[in-house]
Amino acid sequence: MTFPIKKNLQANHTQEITDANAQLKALLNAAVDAIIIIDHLGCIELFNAAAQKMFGYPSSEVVGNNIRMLMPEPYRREHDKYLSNYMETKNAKIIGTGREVKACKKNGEIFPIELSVGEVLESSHKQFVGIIRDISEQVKARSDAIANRERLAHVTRLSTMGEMAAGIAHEINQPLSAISSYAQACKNMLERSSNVPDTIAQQQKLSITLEKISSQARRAGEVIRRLRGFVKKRTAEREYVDLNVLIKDSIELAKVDTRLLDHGISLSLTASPAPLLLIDEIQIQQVLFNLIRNAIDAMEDQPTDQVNISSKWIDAQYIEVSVTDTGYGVSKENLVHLFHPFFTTKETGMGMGLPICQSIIQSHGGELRHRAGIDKGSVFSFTLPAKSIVKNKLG
Amino acid sequence: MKRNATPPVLKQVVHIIDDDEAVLDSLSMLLDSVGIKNAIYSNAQTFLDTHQGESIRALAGCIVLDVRMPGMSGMECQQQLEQLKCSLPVIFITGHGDVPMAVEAMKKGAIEFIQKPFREQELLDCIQHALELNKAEHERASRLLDIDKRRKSLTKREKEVMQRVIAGQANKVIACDLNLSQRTIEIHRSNVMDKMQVNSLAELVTLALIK
Amino acid sequence: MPSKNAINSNQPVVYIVDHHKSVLLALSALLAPLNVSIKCFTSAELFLNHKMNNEAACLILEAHLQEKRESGIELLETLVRQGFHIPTIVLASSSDIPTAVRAMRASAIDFIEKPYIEHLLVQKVAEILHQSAPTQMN
Ligand SMILES: Nc1ncnc2c1ncn2[C@@H]1O[C@H](COP(=O)(O)OP(=O)(O)O)[C@@H](O)[C@H]1O
Ligand SMILES: [Mg+2]
Repeated sequence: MTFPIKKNLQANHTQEITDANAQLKALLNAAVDAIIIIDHLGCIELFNAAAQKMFGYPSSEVVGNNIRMLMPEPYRREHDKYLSNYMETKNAKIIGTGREVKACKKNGEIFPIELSVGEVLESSHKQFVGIIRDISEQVKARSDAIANRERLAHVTRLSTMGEMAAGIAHEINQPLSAISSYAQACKNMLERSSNVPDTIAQQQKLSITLEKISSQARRAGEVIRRLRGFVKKRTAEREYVDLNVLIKDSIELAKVDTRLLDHGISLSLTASPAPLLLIDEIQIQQVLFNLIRNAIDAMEDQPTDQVNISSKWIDAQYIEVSVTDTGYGVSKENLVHLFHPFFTTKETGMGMGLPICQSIIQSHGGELRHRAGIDKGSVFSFTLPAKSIVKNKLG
Repeated sequence: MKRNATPPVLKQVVHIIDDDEAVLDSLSMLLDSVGIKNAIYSNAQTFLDTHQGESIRALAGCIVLDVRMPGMSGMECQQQLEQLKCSLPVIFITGHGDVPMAVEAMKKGAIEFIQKPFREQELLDCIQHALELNKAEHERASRLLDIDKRRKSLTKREKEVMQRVIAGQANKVIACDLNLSQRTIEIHRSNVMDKMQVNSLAELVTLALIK
Repeated sequence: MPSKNAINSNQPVVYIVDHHKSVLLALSALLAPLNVSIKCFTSAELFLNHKMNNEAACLILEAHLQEKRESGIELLETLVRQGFHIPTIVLASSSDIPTAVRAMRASAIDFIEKPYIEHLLVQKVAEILHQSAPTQMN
């Protein structure tokens, strides 16, 4: 590595400068971030240890070469233009601000970096310092979170559809059933009424028509049943999941609702034994998501009250997770309808949150319950069975 | 059993319990149209209140019960009926049911679990079946009652003799055992046959075996 | 047909009938800790031809064998018709209410939709074996 050193210095100054140079060199090589210095044409003058590790080039292969070699297209093509533009106009697009761009390793791999550039002032010639951080991990985490959220949305849509179908099924099947039975009753009455010869043909026709009415009513019922069955077919994908990790992930997801940032969440999770459960991760996330949202809704007027989430083993077989709020709670009249499809007290509510949660938890062999909070508010708790623990011998 | 008085005609009624007025009305009409007596209740509690106490056990017929109703659900009603020792067969009909619910209902002794809308003939067949089951059950119960009555009409001595006859002992042996004349045993024996309303030893043995 | 009057062996037996070998393997592994003897069959015929002893036993049966709808339940109905009662849990890879009702009417002890919840199934089997043990003794 060479540093610009003014030649006309006295000997003792030379020693000081040599020391300073050595210190700087050590400092640069100890830096976690990759640091690169280039001249006004983009020619690399310095490439620190972190940079060598990040890009896979030894210093000797890059120093003296153009910085473009570390850039993939389209940055590569644009770079000369940036530099000359800056030299002419002093209008920096990047200097002084960090930004996300792509870089290219020796092996051709392209990876996301955060780059901040500074101009070296008071040096003998124009120099720029680039500080580079590999942000592959963050970018991946971010896109995972997006994918997760999309998956969640998809499942929510699917299971909402299933629950809606269930809710609608009941509402529609009642009148269908009545139509069908009325028609059948009329048909029976017709068949039993007096057999006056010239009306028999007419009677038969009526009777056939009534049979048609009732068969169409049953057909509509069948359509609804199939819709429900179809949605239910998404057989749960169960894997062993650490419930505590899942809870934390769900909270991250729930932060989509920014009100949560104001409230904050307090956690008290059990860790021993580690809650490894065989569950459908996305579905349980969805349950937590719904419960957290309801809790925040209930604390509309207390924007700084926390939501509490706790988990505890209730015996060797079952773990219980509770979401507690200090909101408006559930009135006695509403208690009976709480888990019914389409029951909501909110203007824009759909009333499908709790029924969905309940059916998810039940399909996992657990139970979802509500109880009033200690002073105010509500506690929604669900249980989940752990891995099977079997007595070694019978009775 | 020849001298058996013909039992009174069983007055069977199909009790329909459903919260939906149209379902209730149409079902009642359907049953009327094929001449099946029925009564309707818009909720389970009304049914239980109407037939409070002993009378619920004396009911004949069957129950057609909706699963999902506000207040007492069909399942809860089934449980109550069991506690009250009501033996009416239960047929569930539901507009909203799933497999676990059906399994649970069947475990508790329901004879059918039908989804709305259903084929009417299917329901009618099922009701017919339920009524037959109920009739058989009533006959069994009244026969037991009747036999019990006959047993109770025997004197102590007659009971003693009957036990031995059933056990296959000859009159001579019984007479000796009980220290009575053979002639007396013969009289007791014929009284037993009379009071128990049977014609042969075989019939007597069969009756004695009914519990 | 399974005969009833054979020697008593102490170890309870769980019979599993399912045409999917993977299911048989999974269930066997799941039930292994119960200390039972596990006998697997891939068809109704194979099961019917098997001679049963008089041990405490339990049958786990898939509702639809060889992709034939309700063929497992038919097997159960056959057993009942022949007067042979073995406590049976029906597992169903696809299910609807009529299928469940038919199985229960054929005197199944339980009807469980797949995917089943493992420890509940194990518990159920353990209970059944526990209950059937003393009655089978005499
Ligand atoms: N944490 C809670 N505190 C008070 N009430 C609640 C809470 N969670 C749910 N509820 C009540 O239950 C109703 C149904 O909830 P839900 O099924 O999630 O539907 P939605 O949120 O769309 O209304 C809500 O409208 C509300 O009245
Ligand atoms: Mg909600």
